[in-house]
Amino acid sequence: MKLSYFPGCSLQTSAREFDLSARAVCGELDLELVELPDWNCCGATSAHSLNHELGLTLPARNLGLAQETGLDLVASCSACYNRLKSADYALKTNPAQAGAMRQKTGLDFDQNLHVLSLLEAVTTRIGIERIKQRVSRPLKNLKVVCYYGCLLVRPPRVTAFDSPEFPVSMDRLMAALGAEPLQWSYKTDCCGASLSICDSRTVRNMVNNLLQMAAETGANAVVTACTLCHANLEMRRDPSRTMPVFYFTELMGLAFGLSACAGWLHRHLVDPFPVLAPVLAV
Amino acid sequence: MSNHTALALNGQDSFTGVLAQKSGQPVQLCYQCGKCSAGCPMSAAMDIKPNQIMELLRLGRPEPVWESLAIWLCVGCETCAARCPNGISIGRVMDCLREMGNGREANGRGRKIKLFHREFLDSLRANGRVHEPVMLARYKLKTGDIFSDLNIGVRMFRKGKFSLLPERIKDRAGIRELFNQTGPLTGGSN
Repeated sequence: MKLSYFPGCSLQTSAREFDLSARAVCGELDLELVELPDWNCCGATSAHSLNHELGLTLPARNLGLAQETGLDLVASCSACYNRLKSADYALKTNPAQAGAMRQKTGLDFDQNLHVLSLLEAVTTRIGIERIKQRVSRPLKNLKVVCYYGCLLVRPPRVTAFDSPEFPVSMDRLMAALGAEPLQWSYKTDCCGASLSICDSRTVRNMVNNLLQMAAETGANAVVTACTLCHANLEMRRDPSRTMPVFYFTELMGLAFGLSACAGWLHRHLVDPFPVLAPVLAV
Repeated sequence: MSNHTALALNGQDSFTGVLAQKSGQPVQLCYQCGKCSAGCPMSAAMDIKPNQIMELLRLGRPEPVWESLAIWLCVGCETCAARCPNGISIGRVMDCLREMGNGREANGRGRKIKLFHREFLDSLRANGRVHEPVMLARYKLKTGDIFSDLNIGVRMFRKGKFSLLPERIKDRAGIRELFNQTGPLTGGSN
């Protein structure tokens, strides 16, 4: 199976471990990720915060490129996914807006492209059963809380994936990998997003609340699907907190016994190896 | 779409009607249940809470909103949109308010948030993709707040999380054209 792949800017730099692990585990499961040629930044929060039209046309250019490939489009970063999906939703449901987008981008859009998040592609196109069969090193003794954040599941009429209040797809994936997903009430709470840079005090409070609740739940790690959630949970925490944060693809790689995992995990700002010692010892 | 929503979106010339049309959100339908403020992750830090903003808008009294910090603190997490019983995305309304007020802000915190967005988009316009280190450095220089994150910056650099050279797309002219086509950014002339 093949999908067009939209990595996003941060997956080339600060979150390269997400990109590397995504490509590796999808390869293991015979899902070929074909990088979208000459893709551009989705505009993230900044574009739609300052100019609505720009916030739609920047991702729309990528939809046009994806359409030419004839493959459905998967985005790994939740923010990129959300912007691509929002543009896709506008094109499919709002004729006036779609007309403006056609005119501004000079592209003609058909209605056949499907935009997915990487979590959606992995859990629905590959499926939990096939992933379970590939596990060679179950993540025993690893108690995780799954942190979906905002943009993977909201707004629900746009994303149309899992539940906006109590999603379970990542929890099921973690259970298939042999880890123990714990239920907590902060699954879809916000990490503070880009305010991390320009209003960091607010974000520190949010991040420490999340990590405190994760600790009280009894977890020894947080699993995320978003580069900004990962960055904020690592950067904006109280230094005394040691709980590591993983991308779900990194834990898939670990459970598959891939040797490349060490390289990904060494890039974390919060050392994940103490928590992983019981897993890696098996 | 309910009849009420359709009527609201087919707004009249009142401020509220224009806002509903422009944002695509039936702001007139707000009946102050307060779910938006209860769920908003930024509510505690906001000077005017989301439900209070909605009431000011519904009454056609937006003046305090233009200069509020609240419209800049909204990060578009869409919790309000997922929970509003009347189907209003207040996050989308906030986007609209920033544009309608053309970037007036109450204090230094709002100004910094706006500056961050502009630096992000400048980097995007130049390269087609965002180059994090230069974008962050320019933002830090402009705010004068150079040292606050130096420690984290050094740690990220050591972990190889910053690339020195920007990733640039081929069709940068196409990106510049998209910026030109979509008009000025809030709070600036370009």
